[in-house]
Parts: sequence; C-alpha cells; structure tokens
Amino acid sequence: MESSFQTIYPLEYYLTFLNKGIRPDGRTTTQSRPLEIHKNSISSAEGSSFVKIGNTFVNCGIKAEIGIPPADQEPVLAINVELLPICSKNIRPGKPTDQAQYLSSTLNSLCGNIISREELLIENESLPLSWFLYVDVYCLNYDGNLLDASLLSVLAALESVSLPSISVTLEGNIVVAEGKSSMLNLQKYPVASTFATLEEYVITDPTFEEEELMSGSFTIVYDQNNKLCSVLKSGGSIVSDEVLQKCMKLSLENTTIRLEQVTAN
Amino acid sequence: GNFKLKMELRSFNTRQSVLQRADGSCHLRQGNTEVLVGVYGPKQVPPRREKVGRADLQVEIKPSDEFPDLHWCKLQMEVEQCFQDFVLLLLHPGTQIKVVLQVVQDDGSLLSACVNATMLALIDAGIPMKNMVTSVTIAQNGDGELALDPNKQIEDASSAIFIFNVSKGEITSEKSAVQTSDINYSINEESYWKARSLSRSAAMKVYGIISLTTTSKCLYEGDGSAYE
Repeated sequence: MESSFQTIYPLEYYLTFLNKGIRPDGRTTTQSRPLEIHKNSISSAEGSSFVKIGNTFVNCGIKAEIGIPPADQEPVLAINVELLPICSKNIRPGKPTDQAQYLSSTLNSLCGNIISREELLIENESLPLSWFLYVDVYCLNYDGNLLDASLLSVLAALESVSLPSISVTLEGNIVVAEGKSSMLNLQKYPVASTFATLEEYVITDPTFEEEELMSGSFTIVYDQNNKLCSVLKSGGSIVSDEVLQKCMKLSLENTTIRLEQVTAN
Repeated sequence: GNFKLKMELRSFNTRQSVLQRADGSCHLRQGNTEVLVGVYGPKQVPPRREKVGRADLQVEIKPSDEFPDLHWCKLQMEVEQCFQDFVLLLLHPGTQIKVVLQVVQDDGSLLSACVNATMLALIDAGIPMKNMVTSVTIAQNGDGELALDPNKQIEDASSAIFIFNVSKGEITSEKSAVQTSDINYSINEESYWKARSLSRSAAMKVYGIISLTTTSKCLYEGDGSAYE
C-alpha cells in the first residue's frame, strides 16, 4: 500500500516525510549520509581511492606519467569522470553523457590549483621533466550527489599518490630508483557540499530519488582554511540570501568533518 | 590597476530578428564579445530526446574556432539549465525548442553574453516564458577589488570570477569560481556577498537594455546608463 503511494505520487509521498522534518531514510534535512574512504584501493595505480557516500560509490585512480614541463597555463592534472552503465539504469554505454562531461569540467576547475607545478618537476641535470597526473573517476553506483563524492575521491587519491624517485642518466635515459618514493603535498583541499531544493525545503546531500524530485540544486565548496572556493548553482528555483547563508554555515561544518576523514590514515 | 575603473558595463550592441530562417534570433555584442543566437521551435523533436508532457529544450554551442570540447559542453549545459526553468515547457509537449549559439568572438564574460543573447532570441521567437533573466560577470583580483563585465585581459588577471543570472532582482543561477592561476587564493565570504549585491544592480541595467531592445525591435547602442 505504501509502495503504491510512493510509485504513483512520489512527490506527495516525499512531502509527508518532509512536513515532519525527516526524510524516508531517517535523516533530517541537514544531515549527510555516512562517508567511507578507502585509500590505495588499486595497487597498479600510483594513487587511488574508493569513496562511499551512503550508496553512492566512486572509485578513483591516478596514473603518473613523465613528460616535458607544460607551457604556462597548461594543466599538470587532468581529471576525467566516467559514469559507467553499471551505476544507474539511466546510463547507456557510449559517448560520455553531458552530466559526465559537466562533472569532469567542474572538477578540473575546482582542482586546478591543488598541486603546484613546481611540486611535480623532476630534479635532474640533463632534461627538463615533470610528472603529469591523470585522474580517472569512475562512478560504480549512482545514488545521488556525485559531485561531493567525486571531489572527495580525487582528494583522497591525491593524498595516497606515491611517486617513484627518478634519476636521469647523462645520455638522457630515465631510470626509476627502486624503493624510494615521495608523497604529494596538496596546497588546497576543496570540499563540496551539495544541497537540493524541493518545494520550499532545502535538503543536504540528496539521494537519487531526491534528485529526481528536486526543483534545483546548488553546491558550496569550502577549502581547508574555511575560505569559500566556489558557489555553483545552475538554474533551479530561487534560493534567498538567508537560506544561502544558512547553507554556507552547514557546508563549513560539513567540510571540517569530511576533511578529517580524507586526511586520516 | 584596471579594476578600479571597471564598475560599468561595456557598451552593448544588440539586434533581434537577424536570421530569416530562424523563428527568433539575436546578435549581441558586449564590448568585443560577440554572440549570435538562433532559436528554432517549437518544432519536431528527435525521438531520443522526446520528453513526456513537455517540450525538450536543447542548446547547442558552436565555438568560434575549435571543436566543442569539455569546456564548451559545460557552457552549453549552463545555458540550458538556466533556461529550463524559465521557458514554459509544459505548454508545448512533444516538441523541441532548439537554441543554436554561435560564438563569434570571446573577449570575456562569455557566459553572460550567451545568456543575454539567448534571452533576446527566445523573446524574438515568441517562446512563452515565465520571467526574464539577465546575466552579469564580475571579476575579482588579488586585492579584493571588483570589476564588472570584464574583458579577456581582466579575466585572465583576476583571481576569482562570479557569474550571476538574475531575474527581477533574484539570483536564479550562479557560478563563482576561483581561477586556477592563483594557488593560494580562495574567496572571502564578504567579497562574495559584495559581488552578489553588485550583480543585482548591474543586472537591472542589463534588464533595461533588453527591455529597450524588445520594445523598439531595432538596433540598440549604449551602455545602459539611462537605466540606473
């Protein structure tokens, strides 16, 4: 009986919960789902992580390659997000969807200056060399809020990156020194908090069902120094200044909690 | 240096109904940023894009001199998501409203020019909408100074860019982003709120220009100073 109501009138079903200040999964409107972070999940990659926000699973792998240091504005970090058909019934194999491309582009601009160019330069006397990091983010289960999960997975994976020591012979051959490796020093830790607007309510960390019902969503990104990195809102219903301020406070708390988990172990 | 002088919109130059084949069109110049938009619809929708009970709004962006890639796809999605809310899609179920955006020249504030031009083109095509939206871009440099409607040079020298799409004084979508050039820079909350309030007053000026263009349906040249 309850599930037929949910199927035929999903929005009304949802509102009966929200009117009492709670959501079907038991969370209040300001609670996020539990976060799990595992680093070094992929042994063949230089850095990797597996992040779970509730039932949204995101796997991230980083491969490092050596090349000539880039010209001025060219990035040393390239992020690619892929939504695999396994993650949701809405995704088909083939060309990356607009959503995946949008995520890739957003992550690239949010993470563009996490690592300085100098950090990735390889010291040697013969050739100018630099590391290039290729980050691949794969969504394995899509239960809403992909932006938060992907950004956390990128941070966790970057934290786990272990770059081997490189030396260059006089002839210009690149030799990998066994055993020795170095970790990366991240300058900035941007953490995203996504909110969805549903009728007159604003809910934190939407699930897939909530994303289907929402009238709009926005994301607030803070860094580790409590400074605002970004406010992203694409269309959707109007959010007043007061609501935005409240959500900024919530994001700040969220950021502190999530950062502790990312930088742990 | 340049920032202190930059509290005005660049000169606007807008004209509707420039394309004969399109149902609606607009040619817009903000300073040297030039955009041409054609709106087609409501028209037949390709089967894979058909939406139940409402029209499909599709935005296609053609960059001036390159293949559309990730960055352009994002721009496209942002324009599309902005107008999803404003166009009354429920009035034309089973059809498509197609917006084709040709970027002729990008000299900064591109997303704002695209949104403003699309707005004018949709009006020209007679597509029913529930409200009007205008867009402004604000750049901030390392010292916290704000510049309104920046050109490419100012954008490249800035540390943060705010783009606000404003409808009747209410901000409906926004994008504030820290440029990737400066590694230690993040926005202070006060700067964000300052930019936000500046955007509302600037958007009212743009709104005035758009109103004038649509009511007179002729070439408008000026900087909106008559509408302060």
